[in-house]
Amino acid sequence: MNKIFQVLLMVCVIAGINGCASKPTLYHWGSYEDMLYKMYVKPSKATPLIQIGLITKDIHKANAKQYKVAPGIYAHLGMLYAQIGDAPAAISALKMEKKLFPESTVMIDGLISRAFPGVSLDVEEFDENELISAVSDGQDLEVKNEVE
Amino acid sequence: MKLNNFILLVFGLMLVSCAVTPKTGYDYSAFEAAKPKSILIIPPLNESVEVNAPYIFLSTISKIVAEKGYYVFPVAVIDNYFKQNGLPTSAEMNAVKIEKLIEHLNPDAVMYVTINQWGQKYEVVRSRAVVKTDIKLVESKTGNTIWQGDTHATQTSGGGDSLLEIILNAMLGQMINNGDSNTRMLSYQANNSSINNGYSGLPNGPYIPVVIEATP
Repeated sequence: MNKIFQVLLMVCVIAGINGCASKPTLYHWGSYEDMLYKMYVKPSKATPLIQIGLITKDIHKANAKQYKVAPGIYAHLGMLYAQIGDAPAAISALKMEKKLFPESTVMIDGLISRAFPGVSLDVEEFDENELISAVSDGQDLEVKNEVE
Repeated sequence: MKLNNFILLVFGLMLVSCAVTPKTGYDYSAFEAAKPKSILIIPPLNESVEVNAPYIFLSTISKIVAEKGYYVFPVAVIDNYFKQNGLPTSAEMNAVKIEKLIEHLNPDAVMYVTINQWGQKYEVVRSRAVVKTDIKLVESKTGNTIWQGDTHATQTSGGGDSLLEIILNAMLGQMINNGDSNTRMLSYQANNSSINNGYSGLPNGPYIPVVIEATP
């Protein structure tokens, strides 16, 4: 009797959770929040290189499914590229955030002009190919990381 | 209570929690006047003894708020930004004047969070994991509080006050491991039930597509 009870309840709970979760989301989130958690609580499991690998993989997935990348993800990627010293990729990722979400303009312009003085803040003036190749490099980074 | 009735009750609760409920009893007039598009989440003030609490909280809030239709500033970028500007603790970050936030980040609204309780408490016959926070949303232009959420979730292990609690706890205990990942799950649950609450939750923001009803 107890078993039946447990199974039934499990079904109810799962149905309940899925019932609510099946509402389509606005964005593709991928591993973003898991990654934030690891970054703070288990930092060795989410170094900048590992995070770049995870985010770029998520961006590829989002693009393939034609989902929007969630707010903040490109900005976070920009911060990571800046941390590993890849200025062109950092600037492109930051500008991508601003292009997708104009609400971020003041923040992004501030971040770019402080970290990379003299760089143009125009969102049209950046090479999206630069970002695409940086994103592909990111995927390679993750592979290398796993090998190490 | 009979078993069948009990299962019906559980099903009923699930349905209620998913149903669209009319917003009554909560005064949204200040919110409606402000109509924010973007929300800056300040790393929480921590009044609990759990050092990691603010960061675990930060990993459970962006998705819930952004999926409500708002631009959410990247929480880790913001935390890093404050630290690089000479504000290493969340107490200092929470003390930054709103005018400064507008000047450098320009959010329409700022979310201030205080963590009241966080983590495991051991009682006589059971242990209880608690997450309890206060969330306050302030319009940056006016400084008015435009929404407030009292956010909490509890998970008890080994016992319970009612049959429902005992069974759900046994199940949760299997799904949730321990420690930080435990409070993370609770924090997500608490934020979700507060922000998506049908009566007193955060109203939809501009990125939620508006369904235009056909005019008769």
